[in-house]
Amino acid sequence: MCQLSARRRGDRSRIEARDRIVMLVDEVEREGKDPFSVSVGELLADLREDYDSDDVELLLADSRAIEALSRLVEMQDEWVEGRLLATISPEVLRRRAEALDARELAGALYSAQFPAVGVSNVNEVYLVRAAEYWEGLRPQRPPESPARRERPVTAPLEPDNFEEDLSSFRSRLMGALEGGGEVSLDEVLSGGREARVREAYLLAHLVTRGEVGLRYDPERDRYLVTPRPEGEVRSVVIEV
Amino acid sequence: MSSREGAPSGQAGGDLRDKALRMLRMLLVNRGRPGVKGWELRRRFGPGYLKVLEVVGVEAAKLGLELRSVEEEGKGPDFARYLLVSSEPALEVGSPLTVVEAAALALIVALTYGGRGEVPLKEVQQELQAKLSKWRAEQALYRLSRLGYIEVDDVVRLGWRTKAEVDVERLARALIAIRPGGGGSAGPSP
Repeated sequence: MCQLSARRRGDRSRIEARDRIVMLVDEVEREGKDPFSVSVGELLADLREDYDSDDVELLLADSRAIEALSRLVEMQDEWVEGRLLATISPEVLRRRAEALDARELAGALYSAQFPAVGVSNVNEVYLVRAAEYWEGLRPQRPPESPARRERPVTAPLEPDNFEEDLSSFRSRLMGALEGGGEVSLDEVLSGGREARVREAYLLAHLVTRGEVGLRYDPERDRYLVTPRPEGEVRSVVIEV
Repeated sequence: MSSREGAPSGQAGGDLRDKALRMLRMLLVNRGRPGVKGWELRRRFGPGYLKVLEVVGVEAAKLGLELRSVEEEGKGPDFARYLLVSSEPALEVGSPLTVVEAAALALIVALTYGGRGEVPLKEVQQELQAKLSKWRAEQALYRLSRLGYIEVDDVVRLGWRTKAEVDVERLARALIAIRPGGGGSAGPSP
């Protein structure tokens, strides 16, 4: 009990320390004092000592203190800028400008120029009409799918080679299906895109002849090649 | 101009925003030179146009633009020019000025810095010709004058467009920050 109240007293004093930071910054701001008279580094180091507290009140006080210190840094920036501008006399600036070449002068101007914006060669009526046109187009534009961008691949099946290819693919497929199990389509088809398209066509041919079947496995989102199916032959669309 | 557009102020907030968006479009469309004079806005939006301009400023900020006004000395807001400028500097978004024109303008701003409102034309020509060829210097002066960046007669003064587009203090800092010969940076952090 005693420990708990001591901890509360500790938290109270830490919150007060943070509130004092806020008051200090407010005073500098209100009275226009030199913002460098406050050591931001030391105050931040103090705050860092027990920043890992999970007490909500203390965290809020931390947040207020950090916000005040960031205002102080901003004041320091303005102070330096004011001092810098005060030291730039017209004569100094003129001498500096005379010493620079055209490209350097242009670079300086571009960093300080905020160009006027406007739409040329169009009147207000057409500007509104153009905006409406583009707005109207937006929902009608179909979303582009990466698959649609892919270049279609053709795999020529020479009439002379077809039976040969079909026979070799068939024996490879039957070997994989030996024992009455099912094999995934990915295991059956080769790696290359062109070869996959070619083998998919051969597989379709075998399915149509009823020599093997195809089944979709929704659990793992894949197609399985099955042994000769019973009954009616069904065609299945597969994506290669 | 419709009678609805010239209606006086005191309308509902939605109407005010609607007017502000119409005014924003008007400010965006260039008619030869950027911006619109106050009296043009009064004629179209009524005597409450300054209130509408405040809303325009808010709407423009959402597009990364800033509403600026350039007042003529001793004249009221009706004679001011209102225009939209980019919130980012020309270094990021591009400038209508070529390198030669930008260099000439930077030099003229430096010559008029510190309350010196005008510089004799001869002096400006001399300074420009020390950096650029005579022909280029004359061309730059002509173009800057035509675009509204400077006013030229026997003396050269900064024009309405420089007052609207160029942050003179920032330019002064940038000029000081550059070390002649390419060692410094032209774009110091603000």
